[in-house]
Amino acid sequence: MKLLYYPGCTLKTKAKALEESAIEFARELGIELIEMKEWNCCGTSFNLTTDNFMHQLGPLRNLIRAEKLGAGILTTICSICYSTLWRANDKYKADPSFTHRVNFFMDEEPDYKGTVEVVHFLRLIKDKVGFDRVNELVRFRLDGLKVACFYGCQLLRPRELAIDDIEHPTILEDFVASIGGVPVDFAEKIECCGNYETIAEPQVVANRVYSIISSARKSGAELILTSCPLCHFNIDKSQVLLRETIAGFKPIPIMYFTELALYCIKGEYAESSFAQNLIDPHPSLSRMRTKE
Amino acid sequence: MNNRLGVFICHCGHNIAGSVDVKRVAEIISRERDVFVATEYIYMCSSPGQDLLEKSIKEHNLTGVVVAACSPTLHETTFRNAASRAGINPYRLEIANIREQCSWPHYANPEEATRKAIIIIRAMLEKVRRNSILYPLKIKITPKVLILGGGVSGIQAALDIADAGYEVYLVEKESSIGGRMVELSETFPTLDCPQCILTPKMTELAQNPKIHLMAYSELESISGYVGAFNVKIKHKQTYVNWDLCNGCGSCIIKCPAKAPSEFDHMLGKRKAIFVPFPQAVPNKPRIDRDNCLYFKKGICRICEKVCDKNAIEFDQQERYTEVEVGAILVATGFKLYDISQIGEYGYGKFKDVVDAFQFERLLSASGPTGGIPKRPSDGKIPRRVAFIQCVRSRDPEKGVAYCSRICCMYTSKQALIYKQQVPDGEAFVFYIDIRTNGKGYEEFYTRCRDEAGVVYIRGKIARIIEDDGKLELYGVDTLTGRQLRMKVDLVVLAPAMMPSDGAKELASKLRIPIDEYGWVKEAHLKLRPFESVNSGIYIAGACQYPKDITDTVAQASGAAAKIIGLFSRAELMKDPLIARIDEEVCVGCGYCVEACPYDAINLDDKRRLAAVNPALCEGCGGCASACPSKAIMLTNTTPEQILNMVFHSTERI
Repeated sequence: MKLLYYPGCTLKTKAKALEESAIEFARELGIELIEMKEWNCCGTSFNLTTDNFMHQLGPLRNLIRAEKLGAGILTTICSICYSTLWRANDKYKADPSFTHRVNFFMDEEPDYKGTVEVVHFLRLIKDKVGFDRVNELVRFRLDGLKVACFYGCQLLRPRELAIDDIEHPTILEDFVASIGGVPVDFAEKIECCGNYETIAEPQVVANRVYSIISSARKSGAELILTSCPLCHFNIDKSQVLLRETIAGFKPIPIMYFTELALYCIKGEYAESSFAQNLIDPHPSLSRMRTKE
Repeated sequence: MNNRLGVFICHCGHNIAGSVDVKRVAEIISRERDVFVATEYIYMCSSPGQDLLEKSIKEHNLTGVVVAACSPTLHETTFRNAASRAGINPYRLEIANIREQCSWPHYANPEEATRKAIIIIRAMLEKVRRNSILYPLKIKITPKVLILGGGVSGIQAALDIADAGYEVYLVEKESSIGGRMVELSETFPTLDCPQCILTPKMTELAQNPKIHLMAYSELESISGYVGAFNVKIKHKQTYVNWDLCNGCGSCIIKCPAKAPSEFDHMLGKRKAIFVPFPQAVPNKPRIDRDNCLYFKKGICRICEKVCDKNAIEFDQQERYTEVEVGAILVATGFKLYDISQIGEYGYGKFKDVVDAFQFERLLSASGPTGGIPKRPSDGKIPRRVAFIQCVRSRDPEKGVAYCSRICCMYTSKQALIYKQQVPDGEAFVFYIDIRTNGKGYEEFYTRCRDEAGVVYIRGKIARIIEDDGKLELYGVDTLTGRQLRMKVDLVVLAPAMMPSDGAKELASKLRIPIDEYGWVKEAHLKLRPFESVNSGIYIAGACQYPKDITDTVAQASGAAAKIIGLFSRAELMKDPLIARIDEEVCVGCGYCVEACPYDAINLDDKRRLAAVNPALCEGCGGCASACPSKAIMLTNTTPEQILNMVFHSTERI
């Protein structure tokens, strides 16, 4: 199965491990992720001002090009790209006057017919492959590793785009179980990571992360998994700050769900794995035992 | 017959005369064919207005009248009665609606409004010219009522109607009457307990020879019409012969199987053979098949052995009763929004997050904890309790848009009783607005807040998490604008009120409209709140929309009075403006049967002809437009009349 895939900027810079592991993992599942040509910025965040017309043009231009390439489904791996592209697409399909205005304004592009569906990679695996199939392919089990799944906001809100139940999602936990890990439930799994406050108010983010990590630690987690590069960045980086400022603070490493998935099938990590981690996951991962 | 027509144009104060030039209309209309008098008056519906109408009919010897005024739904009957008094057949009078359909929408354009008024009156003149002389239909009334629902509204109405001397069939789907009210600890604002004010009524009802109580039964099917509904009632299997059972209770004592008690909202236990609560009416047990050892495993049968009366019937089948009634009262009540659907409060997984009914049981002297509130998780007395109001009420995105009306008051009551039972405990109420619109309500709320020391915090709780045996609330205090986190021992939710299970199916059986949430629609919110649009079907209590006990009882007695009024007449008069079939033309194709929304047309297979049931026909005209051979037509709205109306209203003035 070949699928068109939109990477977004972060996967080419700060989250290389996410892209590499996702593409390779997909290949193991029999899916070829083909990077779309001429992609541009996803919009970064969905603008909530009343007149947010200009902010929709970037994401819609991506969708127009995906449509031109004949893609019914456009896959995203980054949670934020998923959110912005999905919402621009939804707004375009739901509001005829907006549709008209976009096509009139972007007269250099063909009219967008609205045939593209934006799908997140995790949902895609669940629907097109099935976690049972993933389970069959697993050769290296995360024997006993306690994993806390952190969703953040972009995969779940607003409710229309949610890839699972918005208040108590379990899709990541189900995935972890399918690769042999022990998912642990924790109270703050869908709380805010601090988002872009990381630029102006890093202390706000640190407070959020402290709360999240405390909650995850209470449930015995040894590793946190996510699909969002911003959650990854905030949780990873803030813990360095917390370790320096709070005596006895014990960090929990964070990884992308695809990194672990790839390891479970191939027994190796992606090329860029660990290179961009500030809190080293190795001590946690060393607890895993291999089952052939 | 030579027509002698009169036209009476109402000013309706400024409502019509403000844009329609009524004098000019009268002058132009007076030149129309057959019109012997055309005049205007400031208020035609007033007493002098009606006198003018009557006098003119007699003076000019009129045979037909058009009153150009407001919508016929308002005053058609008024003017037809006046015409009748003056000696002409009331169906020879028609209303030309020049207010709702003319002066109001064309208020800004008097010229157009005046022109349109003339057209409307002309069309109506064409109709009146060909109106037949008709007499009202008479329908016999069976003076018995079927009441669906044995909560406080059904009980109140049953007693009122039986007191007036009419027979009542009261059908209740549970095995005891009492409804939601009997589950309460105490009632606001008087703090009467339902045991004191409701159970005496339940006993009275059971003893009343005019009332046939059918507990653990449901409406199976219904046919007929106002005055003569044929209803079939299903008696579900209780596996106990209630005619033989003397209610001694030996079977319950000996039964070894236990299950969560529905009456205690799953917080207490009951046996597999049980009465829901000690004061149940009828006080007869039923066997719950799902938990009975005999039905599950084929063993036990202890109840059968201990029963002196041989009342246990493991092979009992469903039974049916058919009765004819003249009216039906729907009193099916409400339920609470299911808290297991509420993700942010733990999907019902947290044992110490309870809904309002569960807390009522924890506060009730007859409840599972004897009236001392204890946590479901560990049985400890909670020292800090949070009450969250408007859970899915006033929340169109996730729940319902409406206010559930009773939660502000019962939350205050629950907090007050909690403080009485646990004086050193703390009670916090999270609210959006406090709504206390009833007699003594504001005073009651003030007492809870100021005297009992209940803490009111304006704001909603966004999330609850479980932490070390406590519940941590995340929220915001919207008066200070600060985020808050708080740990409590117990959380009581006040979920939205919803129509009872099965209310939608019942409404479709009864052919009564419901709104988007499933609440039964009244015929008119202000003027006809006791009845549905389907004649002969009345409504009472919280099946219409959220109501407290005070309003429920008021409506139940009101609906009872309406039903007693209906029964006090031997016959019912009905407008004869119904569909009629020309049997010479009808080919029996059955299109009209399909088109009729009231099931008023039957196909006579032998004669291959359609036949209209005059009692059921509402005169909507659906059949007339569906009939391919024009064999069926509406009395006084014949194709000839309609075509002439169209023809004359498209003529140039």
